[in-house]
Amino acid sequence: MNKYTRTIILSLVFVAAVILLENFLFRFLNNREEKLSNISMILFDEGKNWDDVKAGATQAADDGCDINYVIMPTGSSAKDQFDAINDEIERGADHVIVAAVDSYGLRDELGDKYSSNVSFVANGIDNDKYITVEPDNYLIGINVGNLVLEEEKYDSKVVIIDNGADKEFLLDRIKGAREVLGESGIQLEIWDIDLNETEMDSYTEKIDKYQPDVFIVLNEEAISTTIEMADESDKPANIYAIANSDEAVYYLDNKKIKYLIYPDEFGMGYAAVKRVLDKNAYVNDDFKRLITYKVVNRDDMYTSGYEKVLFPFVK
Amino acid sequence: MRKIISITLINIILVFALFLTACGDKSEEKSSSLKVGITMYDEFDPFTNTIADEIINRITEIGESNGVNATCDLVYAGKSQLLQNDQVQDFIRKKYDVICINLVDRTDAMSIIDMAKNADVPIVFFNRELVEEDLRRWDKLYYVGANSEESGRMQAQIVIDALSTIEGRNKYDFSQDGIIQYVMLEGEAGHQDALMRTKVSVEEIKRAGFEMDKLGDEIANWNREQASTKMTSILAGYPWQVELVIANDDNIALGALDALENKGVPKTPLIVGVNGELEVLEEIKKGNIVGTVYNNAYKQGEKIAKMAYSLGRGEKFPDDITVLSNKYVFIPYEIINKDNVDEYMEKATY
Amino acid sequence: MKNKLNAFLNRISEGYKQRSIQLIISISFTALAIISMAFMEIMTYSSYLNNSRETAVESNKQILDQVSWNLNTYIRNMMRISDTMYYNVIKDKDLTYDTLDKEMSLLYEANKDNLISIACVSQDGALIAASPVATRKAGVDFKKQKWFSDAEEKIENLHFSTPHVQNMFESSNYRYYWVVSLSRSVELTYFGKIRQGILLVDMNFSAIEQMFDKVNEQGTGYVYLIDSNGEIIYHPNQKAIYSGLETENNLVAASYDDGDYIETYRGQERSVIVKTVGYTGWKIVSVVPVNELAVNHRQIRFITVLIFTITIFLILFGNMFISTVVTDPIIKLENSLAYLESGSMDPDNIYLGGTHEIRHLGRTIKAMVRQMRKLMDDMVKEQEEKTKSELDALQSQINPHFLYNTLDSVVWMVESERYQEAISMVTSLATLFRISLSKGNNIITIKDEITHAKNYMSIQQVRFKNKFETKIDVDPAIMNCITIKLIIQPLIENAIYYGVNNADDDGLIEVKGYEKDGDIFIEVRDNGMGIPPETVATLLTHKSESRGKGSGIGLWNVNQRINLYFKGEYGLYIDSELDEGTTVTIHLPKISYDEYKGGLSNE
Repeated sequence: MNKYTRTIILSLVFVAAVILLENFLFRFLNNREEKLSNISMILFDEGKNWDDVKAGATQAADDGCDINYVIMPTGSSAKDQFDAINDEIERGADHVIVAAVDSYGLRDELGDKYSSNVSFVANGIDNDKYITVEPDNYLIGINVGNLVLEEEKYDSKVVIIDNGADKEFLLDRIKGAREVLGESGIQLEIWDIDLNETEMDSYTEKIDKYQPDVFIVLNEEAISTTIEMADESDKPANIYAIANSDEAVYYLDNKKIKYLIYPDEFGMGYAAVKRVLDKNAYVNDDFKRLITYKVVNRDDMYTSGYEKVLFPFVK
Repeated sequence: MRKIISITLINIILVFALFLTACGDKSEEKSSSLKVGITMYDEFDPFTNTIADEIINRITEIGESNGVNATCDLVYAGKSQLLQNDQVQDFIRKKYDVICINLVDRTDAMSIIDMAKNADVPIVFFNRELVEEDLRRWDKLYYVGANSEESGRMQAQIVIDALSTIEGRNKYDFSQDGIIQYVMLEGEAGHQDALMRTKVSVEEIKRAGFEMDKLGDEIANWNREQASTKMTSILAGYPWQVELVIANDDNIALGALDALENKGVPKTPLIVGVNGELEVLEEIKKGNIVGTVYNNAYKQGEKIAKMAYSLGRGEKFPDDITVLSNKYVFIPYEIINKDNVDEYMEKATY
Repeated sequence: MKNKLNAFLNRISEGYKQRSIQLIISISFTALAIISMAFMEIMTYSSYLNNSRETAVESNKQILDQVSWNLNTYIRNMMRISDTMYYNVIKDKDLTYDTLDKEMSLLYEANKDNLISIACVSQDGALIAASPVATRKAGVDFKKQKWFSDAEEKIENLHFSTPHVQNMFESSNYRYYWVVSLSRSVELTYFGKIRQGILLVDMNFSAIEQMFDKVNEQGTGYVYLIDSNGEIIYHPNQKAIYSGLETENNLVAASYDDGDYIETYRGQERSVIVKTVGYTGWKIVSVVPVNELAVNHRQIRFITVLIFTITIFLILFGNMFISTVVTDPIIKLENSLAYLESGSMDPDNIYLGGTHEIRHLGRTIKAMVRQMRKLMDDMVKEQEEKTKSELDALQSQINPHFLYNTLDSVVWMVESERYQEAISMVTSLATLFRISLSKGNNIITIKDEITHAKNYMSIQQVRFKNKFETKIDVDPAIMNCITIKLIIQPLIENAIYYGVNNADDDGLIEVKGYEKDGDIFIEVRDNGMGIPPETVATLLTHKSESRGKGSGIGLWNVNQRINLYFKGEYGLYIDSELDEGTTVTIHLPKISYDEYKGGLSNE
């Protein structure tokens, strides 16, 4: 009898051990395969078209994790965004990718503490401790400046439309453009525009007074306003725009815009998420080189290299 | 031997335990949240887009005021019923509580209804009406829209009003033969609004005692450019004879106007559309278009939102929603003509 | 240290030897079960892997075939539209006074799910007809577009472009269409004269994309489409590829012929299947990472563990079963035998159990033991019986008459007031009987036997009124040797009754005891009448009847007893001469009483 009892107990213990072991192995192996499950993306301004960024992010996530998109309402402050970041982390986000509403304000709020689970896309906070996925905006500014120099008369009156001076990526672009244009003979002015419609009349006045030849629009929210303003004015002006939206492409097609600089926002969203999922995805994290932008005018638009990027979605 | 039997039993039990533990874990459900799925037949239709935006806004509002985390997911079906079926399946799979559907093909709702019924997910169809037989197949299917017959009648009314005075008749009877030569520009093959409007408008005008003569009847797919093209080719045959253009909707009306202006006709015929788009309102003000029938996208969106919310939470509809035959919620049309166009211009966004 | 090791090893080998059967069977069975299970599992697993890989490749091939078929159908459809437009419409019309609009519109409406537009363009790039929209986009030169130049170059073919954005017609919103252009050179009739033109059918690329999307949603791996040069037409990750963030092995895939291959790209082994779509030269490529081919890892793992666990159970189970039924009984039986060896002849200790054969063994052994026991018992009993009966028989021959007569004498003596003689007689009688019984011992010393003889003689002398003389001469050295009791007295008795009783002379009975040749001889001589030779012969061989006056133990009796006990040639010899006398000699071995005692304790 004793011998039997002993065997039963032994076999029970053994099987229990096997079950536990198998479960552990299983969980362990599965966990190894499982990546982060929860990423949040907090993007500034509902006015901007984020479709490309979101498409890139979703593609990179590819069933491996969930992405929650939060778009800050227009006029949010850095504090609002900081609160939103904390909310998302509390909600269970393993990582938060942010397009900063106010680069310097947010830099103050965040400090250095969040560098392990916060990274930036499109607009960073000028802090090396954080990964920022964006193109080389300074270089874009320089390219635009050079483009204007090449294409326009040497004594043109150039106006840079600034809308949102608290965003680092815009400031970089201004800096680049300024550097090139400031040296030349071109008369350069920088106008700070509020996109509120009530201010429209004062702008129209300004334009009539100043009569610019060239508008450089640095971000897409300002494009339609600028085009409207340019239309109102009697003097024809060439518009150079940096934007990533169907609207901008449409305007280019209709010759409302002379040149469109189109940053690869799909690539930004894609790389931002991929980098979160895989630390080694990109050599040296050299995003400034990785994220490209295209400089297009009406003639080139429909060539195969450009149209794939300008018209990213098949509808 | 008894020992051996008992050992066997223990073995079997243990094997089952192994089996059970190896079979996945359960995931958790959250309540006090509401997931609404919205699928649209086309993302380029400003009218339906307005409805969709309104749905989203309203649902968020209602959710907030009730402390419920209500989220909406909007997808476009790119005019493909197959794609829309997939989208609905996706919503169901992801356990959405209610789905609002702007059907691509009103004759092909079978698979969607079957899926919804099997998964017990209620549906609010809107703007593109399916046949009553399909709607009756389950009690949690509803349709929100506007009574297309009404819109046809109102179109007729606008025309009748314009022709009721001698002045009006003279203005528009180019051929002075007492017969109205007209062109019908239709929306879409098989679309309930298109069918009704086409039929009813002409009937009502005739009933008011006018004689009508059809010069052309083309399909313009709710598209301005297509309407323009069709109008152009009709004008090629009848350069000055067209006295009335009945357009199934405002895009088509604008397209017809484009063609007329392009061609440079001596006299612009009566043009009447449906929806109440801002550009048409402007043309009404200018006098190029005689009138249109207001299709209240906001009200539709609001009703859909309220119904979707109630259905998703398993509650009864609020009192301000009247349901006909347990299925239909109609928002009344309104006539817009030169007299009241200003009111509407203020609120218009589409 | 070494000793301890040795002791330990010894213990093991002892234990091994002891449990030899059980161990052998256990090990054999366990090893067999494990080996065969493992073998089976490995075979199943690898064949399953192989099978599921093959199946996966097969099913991917089927999916690929399906997609290819769909794409083919789609392309054929477009070609048919183009054909219809050309052969049934354009060829029939003279465009000077006729238009293509109605038919084009009809064709468009009938196929608008897959078409974006149909257009007919003149050699100079002028738009002749188009459906659904005919408003040409400002500033666009059709001649510069690829579909135009392709069709112009080779007029006998239908040309399929790679997907591109349509740049031909006015559009009022930001809408754009990705299309695949099918263009061909056509003959337009004007005033009966032929002019060249181009018929363009723009296919809706999203239809193709949906085809691939649907396939890419399910299963593992993905499918993409390239043109004959390897340029990507559709790829599920194409935007990332265009952004330069991902790469694909499309250029290499373009070089493959139709079929399936295994390639390694960016460190990952994948199964690649290529199928060419007819007419266009496009290739559909299916890619599945090899490690995803064997699907259902989870299920395999589960089954493996299940099999393993079951195997262990079976092994334990089987072992226990065999133990119970086979080896334990053997061991128990064996233990019983060991018990048996120790001399316990208890048949009930034999274990009965186990299989039929072992039971049989047990039963047989049990029976054997029973037999043995019975035999032994019988033998012992027989022995006892025999001895007992003999002794009984012998002993019972003590004549009661002697007792009566002697007692009579004692009574007479007492009546005669010859008390001293009476005492002496009774004492001698007592001593006689004491020795006669000798506490039941059969063996006494010669001393005692002589004493007994003396007593007897003294009694008889009194009774026979000293009719004879007695003389006893025994070597003192043999006094301590053993003899059977009651062997001298009967001889003396015979000497008295048959020897000297009827003789007139003074009778003389001599008892002489001496050692000779290592044996002991005791002679009883009388000078009586002697025994006739014929009687001498029969005296030792026949059991004679008691004659009534002596103790009744006859010569035959004495001889038998001596011979029974001492065996061999020991016994009586009779030597007699008529009228001279008789000498009866007792021949005994020389065994001292101490030796005899020692021999007893040894038993």
